[in-house]
Amino acid sequence: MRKNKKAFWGLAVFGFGLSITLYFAEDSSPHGNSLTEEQIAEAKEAELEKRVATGEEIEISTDAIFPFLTEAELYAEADLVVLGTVSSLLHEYMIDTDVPFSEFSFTVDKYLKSNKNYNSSKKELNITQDGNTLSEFESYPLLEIGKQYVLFLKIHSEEDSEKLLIVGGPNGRYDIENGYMKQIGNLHQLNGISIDKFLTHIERKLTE
Amino acid sequence: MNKKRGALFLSFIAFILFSTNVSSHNLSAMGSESAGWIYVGSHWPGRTTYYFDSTSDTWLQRFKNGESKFESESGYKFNLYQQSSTLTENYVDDYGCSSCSWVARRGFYSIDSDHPSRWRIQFNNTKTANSWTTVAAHEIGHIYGLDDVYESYNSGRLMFGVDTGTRYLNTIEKNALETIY
Repeated sequence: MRKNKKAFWGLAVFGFGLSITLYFAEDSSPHGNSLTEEQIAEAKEAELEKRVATGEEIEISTDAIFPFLTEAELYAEADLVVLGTVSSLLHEYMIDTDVPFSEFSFTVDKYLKSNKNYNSSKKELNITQDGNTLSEFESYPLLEIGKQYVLFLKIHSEEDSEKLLIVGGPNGRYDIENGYMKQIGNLHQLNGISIDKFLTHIERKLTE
Repeated sequence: MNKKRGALFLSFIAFILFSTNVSSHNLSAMGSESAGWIYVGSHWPGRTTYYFDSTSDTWLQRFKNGESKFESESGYKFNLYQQSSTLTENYVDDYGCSSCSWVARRGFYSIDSDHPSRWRIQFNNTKTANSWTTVAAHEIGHIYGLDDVYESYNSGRLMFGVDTGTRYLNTIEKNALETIY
């Protein structure tokens, strides 16, 4: 009885050890070429992305961290600075399965900085923002239709198209609420000042 | 003798099951800007999590620096381990998006739309950062349930949502993690 018990436990340990060895052994194709860990990881990533693309899996929440730009950097990077109102959502989409964007139509009341292609003759702009209604960054909400903003925009050329992007996400976006400025994170310490004072501030900065 | 062994085995199993302090359900809204922390709405159901890397050595090292930072600043109460992609579905990668404004992002994914079954942290390799280590640690904070804070009086916290440079997991955030877990 004791010998049977010993044999039983001996077999169990051997079987367990063999299982572990086989589990961690590298995969081999019929032709004898092993996939590298990198290749396996890439394939796994593609499989997971496909699950999201087909709706088998959903993204339940997403967050992002945005860069910090000083005021000087913001003004230098912006091709356009505009005061206006979001008039409509034109288009929302994903690139590469899960990189979200929205495109808004923006009616310009005033150009504070402009160029030869974007100036007072162009009253409607198409503005691109990170995020969409399927995948919105919780801490960088989408622009609201009917709401007024001062936006710092840069012209981004891609292949055959040109987009207007908000510089540095929250850095380049100033919401106007009841005539006063509000920026996510109050990054440039201008929250709470009136819109008139803010416009004067911008004009001064642009001449520095 | 067999009864004693059986009881010991069952006790061992019970110990494993109940000692990991796992919260398998999302919590209701907690925290606020004025409190210095906000619950992001869901969190990884365990203090230990695993991931595979699908990125270059440079970005993996940046992530690992953030991992070490978060682990040490949390008093090693939270731990991340790199594993083979055959063993986990959480992963870290980099992506080139020049039209994106974000520097890094975190996603929770699920089949049943409520509890996260996997996470991903992704770096935007077209951007520069003031501190990739802090960026990585910040994203790890999201995995464990901490949301971004944006009021200027919270600008020194690890979870401030803008890359202002090196920041640390502070006492309020550590206490928040203990509240969540």
